[in-house]
Amino acid sequence: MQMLAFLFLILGVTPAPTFAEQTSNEQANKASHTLHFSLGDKHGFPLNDAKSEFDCSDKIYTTIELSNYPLGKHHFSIVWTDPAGDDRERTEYDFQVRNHDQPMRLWSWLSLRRSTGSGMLQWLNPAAGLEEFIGPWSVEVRIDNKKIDSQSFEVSC
Amino acid sequence: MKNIALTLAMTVLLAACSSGSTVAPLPSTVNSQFAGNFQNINNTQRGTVRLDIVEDDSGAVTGNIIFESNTANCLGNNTVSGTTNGFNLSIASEINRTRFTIVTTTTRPTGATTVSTRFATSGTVGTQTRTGSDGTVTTTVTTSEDLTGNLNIQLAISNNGNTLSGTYVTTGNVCSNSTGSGDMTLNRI
Repeated sequence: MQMLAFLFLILGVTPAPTFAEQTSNEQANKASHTLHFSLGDKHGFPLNDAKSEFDCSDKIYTTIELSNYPLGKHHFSIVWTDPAGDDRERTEYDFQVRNHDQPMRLWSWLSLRRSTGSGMLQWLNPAAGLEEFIGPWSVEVRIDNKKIDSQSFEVSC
Repeated sequence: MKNIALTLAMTVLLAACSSGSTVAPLPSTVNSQFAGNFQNINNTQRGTVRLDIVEDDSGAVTGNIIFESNTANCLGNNTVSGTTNGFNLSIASEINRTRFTIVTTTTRPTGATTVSTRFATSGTVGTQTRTGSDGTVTTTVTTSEDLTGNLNIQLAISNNGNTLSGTYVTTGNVCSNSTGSGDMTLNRI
């Protein structure tokens, strides 16, 4: 096999992809995704109603739906970047695509907590203790360490 | 008055010196035993549910589900299998049971006839006729049918893997319209 690869290298010829490689490439070409931000339902599932503006007391869900993603094991990561441009949170986990019967839904959520003692000042200023979180946030979604989407939402109090 | 002012000053100082924080949890495995409650959408069937599940490295889940209910319940105990992906647990099981239909016809000497039908989980198939001392004839016809279907459950994993909450829906003829879907919430035991 190494000899064959060497021969291809010498001749400057690219070997034809194997059947498995072809299938994998075809799957990757058909793969698509959608990303949205939302609130959660009473069970903790993300709602389908997309939102781009959230209150500072909301639990904010980022949901990605993958269609025709290549079968097998993959690694998912979401990075939540605050209005100052700092990466505040990162959620990572492995997932398996077992079939293409229906889109696969993956999600992560973020909630904001006030600084110590600022709860008492909440009646004066609803944003007390959350000032650094007010403004535009961005979320970057990576699968198998490849960036597949990046979007923004707004937090206000 | 001084104390109030001091408290307020301390609060402002504390708030000024500390910063807020964020929470974004990681999903947890569900390799455990859970117990909780289920309730169908029109609240005609409810009770307790127990889930004993094992999750492997690939996220494949197997185990058992057990229902207990004081009311009529169309869900059934069985093995379950499914998958986890992130914060989502999707499991399914088959429901197979026999339903007995008991039709009782009562004919009084006057000729008046009443018919009643009830369903039971056990019984003896056949026809029984009994004549009372007053001449009332009671005929009981018991038939059975095999009910089959699937129970599909979607649960969100939260609270560091200690809580499973979501919905269930049945297919097939094991449940009548609108009785076979609802909510369930379980906690790790």
